[in-house]
Amino acid sequence: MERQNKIEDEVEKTLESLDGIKRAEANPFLFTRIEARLEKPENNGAHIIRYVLIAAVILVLNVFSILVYRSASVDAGKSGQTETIVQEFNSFEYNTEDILNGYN
Amino acid sequence: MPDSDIIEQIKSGDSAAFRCLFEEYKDRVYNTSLGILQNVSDAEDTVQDVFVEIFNSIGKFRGDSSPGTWIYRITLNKCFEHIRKSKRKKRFGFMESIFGEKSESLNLPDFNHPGVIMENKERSAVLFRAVDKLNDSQKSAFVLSKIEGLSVKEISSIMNLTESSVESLLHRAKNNLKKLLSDYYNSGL
Repeated sequence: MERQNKIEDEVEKTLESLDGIKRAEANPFLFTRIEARLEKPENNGAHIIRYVLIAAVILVLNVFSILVYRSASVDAGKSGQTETIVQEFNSFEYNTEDILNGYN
Repeated sequence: MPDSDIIEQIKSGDSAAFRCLFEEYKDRVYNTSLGILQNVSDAEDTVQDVFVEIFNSIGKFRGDSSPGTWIYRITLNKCFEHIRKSKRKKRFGFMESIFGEKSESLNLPDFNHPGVIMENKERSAVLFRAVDKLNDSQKSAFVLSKIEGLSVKEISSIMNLTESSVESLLHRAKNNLKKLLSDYYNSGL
């Protein structure tokens, strides 16, 4: 109970801590900065341009990796095809020999 | 010179009038921003954003509300825009670090408002930490009322709410702060 009263007392004192507060004064040099900002055009698009550039870089990297992956698969396919053709050619050569042997 | 005349002069391209408006409102804009953002550098950035916005959109100001109300509205919008941008920056922190942009923290721990009297500095730092946990509308109402010292009527026109809605917001803000502070002292005492 005593503890609760103490807490309530602290809360009340804290809530009253802004009583008699004085208005904070702004830096008078702020006007010079405002004038400077009014003289030069606003650069609101800078952030958007940066994010668009980041997205473009990510997109280019993705497209590049897809192309590399696809060309690697095509190469693998081609070498597989060559092997098959060689095997077929070898078996044809073998059959030709058999035929020739047959004639002899 | 009344604010409405200053506005008309700015509309006609008088840069001295714009300086005059800045001098009149800079502390109100800064104090409100500081209360919401709890960071000197962020609040200074917001003051610049607010006055650049005022300059660029002064032609659209029709005078339906007072210039002060209009400027406070822009201030609140810019503060919450700043908070949203900082949250976005945190989300893209990894990308930012790759491209070398430094990410600034939105809230520094133990913020000390320069207008708080010395003996209350420690307690007000605890209170500011709790204020930072309030939702946007409760935080706005609390800051405008307690830090900027505006009346319920003034806050209602800035926030475009009825006076009873503002009173209700302030009541809920105070209850939430009480709960947050109770939890804090419960764990600490």
